[in-house]
Amino acid sequence: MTFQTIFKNSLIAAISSIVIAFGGAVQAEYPEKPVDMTVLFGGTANTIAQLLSELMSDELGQPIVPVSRTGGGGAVGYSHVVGTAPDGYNIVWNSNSISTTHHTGRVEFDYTAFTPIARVSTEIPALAVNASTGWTNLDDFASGVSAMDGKLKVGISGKGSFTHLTSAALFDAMGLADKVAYISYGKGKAPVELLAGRIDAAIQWPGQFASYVESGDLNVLAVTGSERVGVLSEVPTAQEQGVDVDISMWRGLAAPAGTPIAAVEKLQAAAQAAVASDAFQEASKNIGFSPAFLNATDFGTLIESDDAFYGALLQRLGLAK
Amino acid sequence: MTNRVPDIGLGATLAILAAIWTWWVMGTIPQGLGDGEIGARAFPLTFGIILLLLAVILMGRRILSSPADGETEADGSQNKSTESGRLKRTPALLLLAEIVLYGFLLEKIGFVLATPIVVLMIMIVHLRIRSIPKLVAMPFGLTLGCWVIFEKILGIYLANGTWFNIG
Amino acid sequence: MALGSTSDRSLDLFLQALSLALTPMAIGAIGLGALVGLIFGSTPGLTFTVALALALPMTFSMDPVPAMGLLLGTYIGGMTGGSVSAILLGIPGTPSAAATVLDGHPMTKQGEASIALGTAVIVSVFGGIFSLAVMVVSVDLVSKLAIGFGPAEIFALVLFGMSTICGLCGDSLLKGLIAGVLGLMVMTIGIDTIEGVPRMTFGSVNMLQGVNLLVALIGVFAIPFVIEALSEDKNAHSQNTRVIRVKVELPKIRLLIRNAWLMVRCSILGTGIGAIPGAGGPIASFLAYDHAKRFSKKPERFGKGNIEGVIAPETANNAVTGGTLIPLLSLGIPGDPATAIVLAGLMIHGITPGPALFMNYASEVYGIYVAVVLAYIWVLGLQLVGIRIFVHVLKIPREMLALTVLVLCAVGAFSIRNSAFDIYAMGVIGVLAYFLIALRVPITPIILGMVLGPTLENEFRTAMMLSNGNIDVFYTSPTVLIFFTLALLVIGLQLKSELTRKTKHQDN
Repeated sequence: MTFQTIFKNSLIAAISSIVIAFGGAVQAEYPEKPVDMTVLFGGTANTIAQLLSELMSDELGQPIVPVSRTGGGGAVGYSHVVGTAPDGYNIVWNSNSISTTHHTGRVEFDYTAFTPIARVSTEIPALAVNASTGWTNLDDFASGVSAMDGKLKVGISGKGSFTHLTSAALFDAMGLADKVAYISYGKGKAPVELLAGRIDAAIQWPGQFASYVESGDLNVLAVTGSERVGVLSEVPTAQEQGVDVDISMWRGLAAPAGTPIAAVEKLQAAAQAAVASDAFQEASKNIGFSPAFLNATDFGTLIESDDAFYGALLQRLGLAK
Repeated sequence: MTNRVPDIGLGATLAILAAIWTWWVMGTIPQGLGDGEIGARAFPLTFGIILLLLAVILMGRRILSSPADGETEADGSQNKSTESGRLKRTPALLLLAEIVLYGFLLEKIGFVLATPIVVLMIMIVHLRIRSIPKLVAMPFGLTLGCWVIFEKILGIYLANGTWFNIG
Repeated sequence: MALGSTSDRSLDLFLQALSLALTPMAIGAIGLGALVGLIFGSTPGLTFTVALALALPMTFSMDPVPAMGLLLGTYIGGMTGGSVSAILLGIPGTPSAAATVLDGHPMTKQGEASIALGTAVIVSVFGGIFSLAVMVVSVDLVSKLAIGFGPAEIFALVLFGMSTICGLCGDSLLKGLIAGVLGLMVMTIGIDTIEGVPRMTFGSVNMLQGVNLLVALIGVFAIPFVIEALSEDKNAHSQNTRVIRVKVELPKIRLLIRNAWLMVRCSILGTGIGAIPGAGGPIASFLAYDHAKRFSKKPERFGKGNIEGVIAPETANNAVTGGTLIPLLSLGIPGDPATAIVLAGLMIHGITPGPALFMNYASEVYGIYVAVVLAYIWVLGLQLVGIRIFVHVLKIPREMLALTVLVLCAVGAFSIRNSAFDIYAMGVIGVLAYFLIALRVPITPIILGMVLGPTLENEFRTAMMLSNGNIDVFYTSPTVLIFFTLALLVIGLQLKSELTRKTKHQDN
């Protein structure tokens, strides 16, 4: 009997300690291990992500590890994150690309597969032309283009890319859609092509144009957001010039749908603190993006309305699947 | 034994591949719009057709050349290399299977578990090593070494498992 | 008088730059970068692009010059280190070192590994400093010329690069061409950047990312090595003992002096190609190799361990580093993913590249120049010590080495995009390459096709869009015509030598 009791007791002890261990794990404060943050693109997206993750790690007390999963215009990274457990340890550094990848048929799921955490930053595209055209605002531009024989050559970074969509929306709003021919460059070489005069206009990020504006080689006519941009503060928005477009690229954080509220709130608070930090504000000026924290609820509303907008735009351009 | 027969085989395989490629390109990639828009299809299609032509020429030339005069180039070494190419078909395919397994395991159980398993497997299957100390030392030494150097010192992200993970 | 004041100003700037770049912090950061770059570059499977991505966050809290020193040190160390595994194992550490394999690895087989390695590092430093000097003197001029390179011109240049396939075919031109086309085909898989449509992806999300060049490179060179080593006959040790004979011996000064003119020509070539946005290192090293072979007194010695076959590509690919700085600093255009990270490093410190850079941040720019020189000094010092360590790799039993290489390659392939798909791709491409090698299909043209294919296609398509479908662009630009002529010349010469060889054969 003694042997059996000992055996039984020790078995019970073992089981209960396992239960306690696991129960403890469930109840422990999030986060208790590193958080994996999928980064979908290189370049600016990656730079901001690396900076943000460093700042958020300090807030959270656990490292946020930015992991680059690029390819397919974001499709590869989104697919990876959708397949992970919704436990708050897998998040994605997302952007408007969630709408474009879905509407162009690259992934089956759409934005509803993710829980928004927070918007972090926005980047506002700018329209530039070679200074030799003499155009300095959108009116000059519109009358100049209408008077042109043939079409205006506009540089974009690939069909269906964000610069393409912005260009299309802007020229639609200006009534110039028929006068424009898009030239796809594999990579963002637009400023130089513009400088060399091989293209007539390009929509790119203000940071890429700033130095050329200062040297007087390029004129930036408008930015497409609702507010002016820090690096080119003298450039008016399109809306100020009577053209009704408001397009900006946002970047933010999201997690697979079903992630516990507690985890989302922790991450949201960490993101808010990181965005407010001096280091982040300083970097935003240098790199040329705007810090734009938005909480989870408002961010969700924004994603939803944007998704409808880009869906319709892609449909109109014949790029939707 | 010259290069003649393997080359005919190579030509035939490539010709079939090129034909499938071309047919698939035609069926799945949209055509350009004209007016300078060459489109996404043109280049893969051209490559497929060129490969088809080259493969047919290779096959044709080797079939037409009589087996006797064969390739007058360096015969001895060539003989050996085709032979060794034959001999190692199984190890090559086995290694492919092991690499694919490695990739799969990396994703599912992470670097720290997948590496010793696959290294152990290669040592047993390919190298036929049966010495227990070696079978223990190599997989674990290699895994530990890589983990310390890459994950801890250099900070490279090594795969974490989605099923479960240690390390 | 005006002249006097400008030179005073530049002396001032230079002294300021020295005070920025010669701080212990900056020297240390550059040294650390050089070391990390060398380690990543020389390890098969790992590339300096990954090293740069890791180094970037470390620079956030640094001053601009040490930060740029760390990044540039990593870049330069990585570019130089790429030759190590190319020479020792026949596996290039970077695409730019692929041409170095052709003669560097045969030298190792002949027991001359350390001479090849020593030469590689010395000529790398020469090429790097040379290109830096060119850049400092003529950045304005060169960047103006570089702007003139539109899609049509770059297409012509890439086509010229492709024509060197003919010289790399071994004994069957036909098989070489087949290999080149196979390389071109592989790289069309994935999303087409211009139209945004998927190609040959069979509906799979993972295939959308396409075949990564670095992954393919690892597969083509490393996997055949692993298969050979793992299935080697245990009794046939004759070959192994020959490789194990390791001596540490540096190249003689005489050898370098004899090849000084070749080094200068390859430096000019590398700098020029580096300066053209979007062309990049691999074209430079293959063109340099082809050039050296064509103008050599003993072209038949190439591919069998000729030191000139190491000097040419290694000089050129490091000369590219200075060349790429020209469009990077003066136009803000990164030539490849690696320089894109350097660009990010500049931006985050508020140094916006472009025409206004030299007005606003002159002392930082000069500081960067000094940092590049320091990086080369570090690289030279580290590598001359490193060679003594690296050559002992050859003493490791081959099957153990192969296992290690396999794991390193898997780590490397995975680290690029953190995707298991890349490991599958590495395996499939590697095993196919192994069978092709066994069937005596040369593999260097495959690499060339993969490296140049995407640029070739995209630039051609963009050029046609710009001209609205008008083929004129390809014969109205003098630059285009020059490159087309050069390409035809290379092909013609190759066919001629092919024919003479055939007739000789028949005469025998």
